Amino acid sequence: MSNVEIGIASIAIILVLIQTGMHVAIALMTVSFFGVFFVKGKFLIAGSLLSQAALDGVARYSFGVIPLFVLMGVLVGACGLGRDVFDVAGQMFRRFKGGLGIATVFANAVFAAVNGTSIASASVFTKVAVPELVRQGYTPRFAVGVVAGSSVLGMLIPPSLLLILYGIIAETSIGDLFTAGIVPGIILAAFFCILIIVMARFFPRFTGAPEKSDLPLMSSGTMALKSLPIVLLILLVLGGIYGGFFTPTEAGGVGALGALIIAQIKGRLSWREIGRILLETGQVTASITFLIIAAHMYSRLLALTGLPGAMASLLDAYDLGLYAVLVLYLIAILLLGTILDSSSILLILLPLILPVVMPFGVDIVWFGILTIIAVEVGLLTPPLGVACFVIKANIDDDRITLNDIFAGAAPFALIMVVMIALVLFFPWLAIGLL
Amino acid sequence: MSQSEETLLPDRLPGGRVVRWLQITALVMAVIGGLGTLFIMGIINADVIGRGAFGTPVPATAEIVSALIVTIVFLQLPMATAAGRNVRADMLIGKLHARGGRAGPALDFFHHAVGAIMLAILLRYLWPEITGSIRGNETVGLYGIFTLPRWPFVTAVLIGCALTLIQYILLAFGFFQAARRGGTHV
Repeated sequence: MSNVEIGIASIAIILVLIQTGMHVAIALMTVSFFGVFFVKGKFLIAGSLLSQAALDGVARYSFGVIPLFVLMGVLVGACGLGRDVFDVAGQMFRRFKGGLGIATVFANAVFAAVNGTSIASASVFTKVAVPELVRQGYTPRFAVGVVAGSSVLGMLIPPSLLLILYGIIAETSIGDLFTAGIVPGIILAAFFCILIIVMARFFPRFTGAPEKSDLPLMSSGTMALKSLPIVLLILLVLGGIYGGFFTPTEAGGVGALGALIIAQIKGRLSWREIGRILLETGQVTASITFLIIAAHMYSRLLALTGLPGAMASLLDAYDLGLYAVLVLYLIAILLLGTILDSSSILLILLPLILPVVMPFGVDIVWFGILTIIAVEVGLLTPPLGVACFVIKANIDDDRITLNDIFAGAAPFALIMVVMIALVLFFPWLAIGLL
Repeated sequence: MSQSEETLLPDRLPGGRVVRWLQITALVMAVIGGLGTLFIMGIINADVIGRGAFGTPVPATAEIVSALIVTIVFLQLPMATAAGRNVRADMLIGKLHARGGRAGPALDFFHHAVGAIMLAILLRYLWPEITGSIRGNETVGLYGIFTLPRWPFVTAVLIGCALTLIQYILLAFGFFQAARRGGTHV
């Protein structure tokens, strides 16, 4: 077997192992270790690759903030900020047809600005928004669909753990990536709102026939009080980044402290609760970072096999233009998105594709936004749609099946594909603000 | 990022005092890791405030955070593994488990056995690196400005790796017994 063939075989084996349910990190480690052995013929080299990646792979400042962004997300979820935003948004949009659906999208977009993961968005709003939507007469399918669809905003609107991950792998400015995510995030949220209005008007069988909102009206004082903490937190995090007081990676630390203070002022956290939050943060951090370490090993194997270079020259030989390569790449992501989780896709695909697109002189930040939106479609598509799984895990209503969630999320996934096309053909949507 | 919240664990782990002690150790390590996260939060804020308000950053913040993150991850990994939180695609395995019978636990036994083998290999090759780093009195931080000895950081990595290995062995054993009994729900 030539080295390149080993590289190709490694991809196939990893996909199979992951599908059978092996821990993704273990699958990557196993294939990397034996792959390097086959290329180099020495266990010592393969072993030192493992130990190097484990000790040095994540020993960087930008990785240090992963637990902090996770902590911030868990904190803002635990202290009820999500519910407060949802209440306020519900009142703001009560006169629209499908108003509560729009409110869910809006609240998700705001929540996304203080939270870096779609998982946190999905689990918070499943508990906050779904029961309320169903109570007001929306179909359960539509209710979970809105939550699943709008949860993707969590990783497009800064701060975003996926953009950080992309920035680390592609070695580009995380601050620029954050800036570039803002406009596409807002446009996508607006598209979701339009979609909801259109569906509520023309497909009432899908959305259900909501009654007039019967929520008690809040005084503007109450509304201001409810929105104040999250507005302060957004000002702190985004203001700090763009005001030049701290870097996007440091924003995780500042934001986590801000969220902790807000949680304490709201007075909802006992010591026991804080312990639970720390453990939850730890488990998410450990599993994500272990995955990153393993992917580090794998990208070194890929580099050793020379597969990225071979792919570049293969595509060169077909004389494909940049757009053909990009379209192929995006389709590959969408397909992989059905069977892999977001971070695994980035970690496996980016070391392969970056050497291919670099010679075209593409803007790596723009390329990142394209990548992230495409990866996020995978959160919504079966069989492995992580956002839909999270909703299923958080929902108390047994009548809502996983299939309902996938069906409800489908229109939103389609809109995201449209959004990819828009960013593809109008790059200034992403990089206009830079 | 991505995390399926539903976990598949064997009904029964091998019991006994040693196992209970191991679980408590994993919990304590995870708590220490959590406190480490709070420490990172503190030092970054001190650095930002010190820099912005007084023009005096905290020395070697980036270096300390970089060294600490590896330690924190390996401190928390045994607990995350024990709780079944490692990222995986559970479509097939979930279906197999739901159906009952031997197939689910048997496949899970295989996955966790491979996990144990890989962690053992990792431990085997981490060992010389880490003992070397301790014997060489390596430090973290900025030389000449602020340094800490490296051994507490790397020792914690070693212990975390070893305990994760043990968790994988325990889980593999639990699934093995479940498969022998003839399925998860029997």
